[in-house]
Amino acid sequence: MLPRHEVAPLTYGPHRPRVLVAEDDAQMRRLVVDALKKDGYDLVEECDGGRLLVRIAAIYSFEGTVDPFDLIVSDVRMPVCSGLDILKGLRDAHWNTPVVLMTAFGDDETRARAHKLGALLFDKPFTMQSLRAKVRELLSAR
Amino acid sequence: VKLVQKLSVALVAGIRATLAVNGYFRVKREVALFESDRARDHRLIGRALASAVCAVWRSDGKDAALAIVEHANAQEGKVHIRWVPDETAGVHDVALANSRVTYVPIVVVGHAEGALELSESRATELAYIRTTIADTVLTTTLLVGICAGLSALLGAWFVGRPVRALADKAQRVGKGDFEGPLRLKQKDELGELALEMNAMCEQLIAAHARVTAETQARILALEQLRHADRLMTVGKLASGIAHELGTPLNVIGARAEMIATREATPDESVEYARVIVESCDRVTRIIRQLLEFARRKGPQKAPRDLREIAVQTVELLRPLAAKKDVELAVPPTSGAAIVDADAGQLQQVLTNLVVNAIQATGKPLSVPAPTNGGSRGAPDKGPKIDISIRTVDATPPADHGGARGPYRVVTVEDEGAGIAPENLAHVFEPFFTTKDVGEGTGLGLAVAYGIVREHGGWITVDSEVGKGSRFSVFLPLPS
Repeated sequence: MLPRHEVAPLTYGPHRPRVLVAEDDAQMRRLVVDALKKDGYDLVEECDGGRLLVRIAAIYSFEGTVDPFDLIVSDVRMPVCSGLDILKGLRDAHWNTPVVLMTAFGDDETRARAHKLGALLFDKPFTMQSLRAKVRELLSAR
Repeated sequence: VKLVQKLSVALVAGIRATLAVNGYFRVKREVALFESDRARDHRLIGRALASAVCAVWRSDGKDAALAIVEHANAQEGKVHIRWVPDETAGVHDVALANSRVTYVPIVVVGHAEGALELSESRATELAYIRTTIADTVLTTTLLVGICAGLSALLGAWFVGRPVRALADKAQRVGKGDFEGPLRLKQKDELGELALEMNAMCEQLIAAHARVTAETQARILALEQLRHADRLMTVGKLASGIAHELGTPLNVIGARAEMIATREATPDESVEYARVIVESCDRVTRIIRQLLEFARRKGPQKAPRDLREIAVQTVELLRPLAAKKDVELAVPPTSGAAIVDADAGQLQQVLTNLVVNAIQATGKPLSVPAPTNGGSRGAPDKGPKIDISIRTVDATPPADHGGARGPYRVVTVEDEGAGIAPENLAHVFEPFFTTKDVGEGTGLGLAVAYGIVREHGGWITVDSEVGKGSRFSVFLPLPS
């Protein structure tokens, strides 16, 4: 478990949507963050499944003190823990935070699991336009 | 000599011996009878003549008596009779080589006056014996001839012909022709043997058909497995390529889009262009490695010293290791370890293994260690990678085949993070990687494995999470 000071500090306004981006490829992560920032969200980045898990667990452990996320954008294949596994954990804990998964190889199994867990799956390469539109749609629905 | 001839010779010899023994005893018996007849005749004649001679001797004197003897001798054809003055003790027979002699004493008034000698040549007797022997020989020869002829004919018909047929059949069976059952009409042992042989052939045909069917089924199953395996490999390759190329392509496309739509500031555009170039480099690198994997040239083999290759590789990689604070150790060389190999390719294999070891050792664990609290070397000591070479007796793995024998082994042993048991089986598959993006494409070990296989060797891996991994490259000794 990471020490508390490593968890993102409470600097975001309560009305601005918070989006968590998890992607192990630095350039890809940077790209998604840059694109979403343009739509005015607060963004938090993680570089692998393990850190993403720690981040989510922190919200769960310090409920009330750490703001939850309004949306999670995550790669499927990442070191330590896959995006699908984390999605499964979220749903098991009855967290219905919208999740957008990105994958370079969306086989039928991955697609079926993502669909069952209520997540959207983007096949790489995809345009930032389509991602931004979908994120906007999901956040406005909340 | 054929069996039939042997039997005939034995039979004929037996007949001949029996006839010879029979003839011998018959001749002997007849000669004895002949002898006793003649002796009795001689004695009868002798006694009668002696009585007459005695009477004449008494009445008319010696000369008249001897005249009677002369007369009697002249009358008898075969028996020669004469008076001998010698004293003789009663009637007795003497057997000489060519004649039989009987002496009868002449007693005149209680006083012996010589004896009558009756002798007969054995010529008749010998002639009879000769005739009998000649008859016997002729008869036996005829019999032997007939027997020999008959046994040869019957033997050839009842033994030779079926045995030849059996031998032909056995030869055909030996050549793998089980068809055409043997038809022998005889109900004897040879007939039974033929029936047994036919039964055996039928069983062989059935067994052969069974084996053929099983082999074909196995080949078919193997083909299907291979096909499935190929499909799986293609699938994995596709998945790997998609994963490795999808992300940089996504970056390139989206960054270019941002520049094109003027969404990015001029400064950002410059930065994005740089990112695009980097991503293109990454794609190029992946494609180059993929091509290298796909159209790898066959090894240009020559006798090489494995130690020299290992030392050169280690020297090349020492700077990289130093950057990650890892020590590379090659035990001091003790004699050459010659293998028939492509030095460049082997160096590539060792480079891939050592780079992997450096990355595994130098890589900090991204989450608290899963199984233990950190048994890795103390930070002041610094982790070490050992590269050792030795010659051992080893048995190639089942999919490689071959007999147990001596092999040269290069071992690359690290004290790194180790490989999880569920990943161990996949480490040599193309595009399999647990490394962070940018650190590896998942082709290094697949390439190493392919090269070593082309050198007639194989790679094994032992690993324990938290303790480290050991990769061993087995290479055959030069023939």
